[in-house]
Amino acid sequence: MDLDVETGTVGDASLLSLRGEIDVYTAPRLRQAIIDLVEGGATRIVVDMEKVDFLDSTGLGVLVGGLKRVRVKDGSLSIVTTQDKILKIFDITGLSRVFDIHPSVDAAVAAE
Amino acid sequence: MSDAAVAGPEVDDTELELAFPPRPEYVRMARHTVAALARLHDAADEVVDDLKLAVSEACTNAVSTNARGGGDPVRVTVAVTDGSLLVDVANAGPGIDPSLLEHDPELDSEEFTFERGLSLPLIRGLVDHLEILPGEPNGSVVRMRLALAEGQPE
Repeated sequence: MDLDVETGTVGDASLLSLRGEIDVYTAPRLRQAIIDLVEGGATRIVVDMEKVDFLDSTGLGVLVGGLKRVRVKDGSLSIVTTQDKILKIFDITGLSRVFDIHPSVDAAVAAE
Repeated sequence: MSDAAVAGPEVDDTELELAFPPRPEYVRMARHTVAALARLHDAADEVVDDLKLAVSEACTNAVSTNARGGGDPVRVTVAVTDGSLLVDVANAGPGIDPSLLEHDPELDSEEFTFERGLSLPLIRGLVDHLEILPGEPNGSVVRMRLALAEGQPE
């Protein structure tokens, strides 16, 4: 499985729906999708990782980079997942303290 | 679990040897191949997930190092001893500074200076034992041990 990146909107947020594996080969596609959204004026981004099978430090770096991009515009980038294996990666790296992580897209959009 | 399991694989215990070009698209193949070997030994799902990520991180480091160097292949060796998987990922470049093993990433939510520094801390958090050894004839070897069953071995 490769990585599919779908862009949409939900409420007043931009939604990035990811499916597949995020690693050193596929992470540049995620980076570009985030850059495209931010350059298109998005400041509120929800990244749905519920269908992500694999995430590595390259992918985490891209998410951190995305968070930096929206923060300078007083925006937000939040994560959606209930998967233990993904949550564990955020926990080990301490990034669970940096990102807002929600159990559903609706919860992410409702949070502010 | 005796120290012998940490000391190194006997030749007879080696069950998998991989050599692949130092290009990003090959990292996925490497982690899935090592994961398939772990499943052959009935590794728990959580162990397979940890193994895939640890192997992937080590291979990504090696791909980056070797691609900057002479383009030497990345070499992965897996042995199974005493209920543990012993994975060596060798790179041929200038190697990894072993002092990085002691490095904790700076988690400053305002600065984010650690984007490239998450790999070794992540590996350390996933495996039961991690060593960085000098490579032959050069480079370094990231050696990782994971118990096949869930939970930490004694």
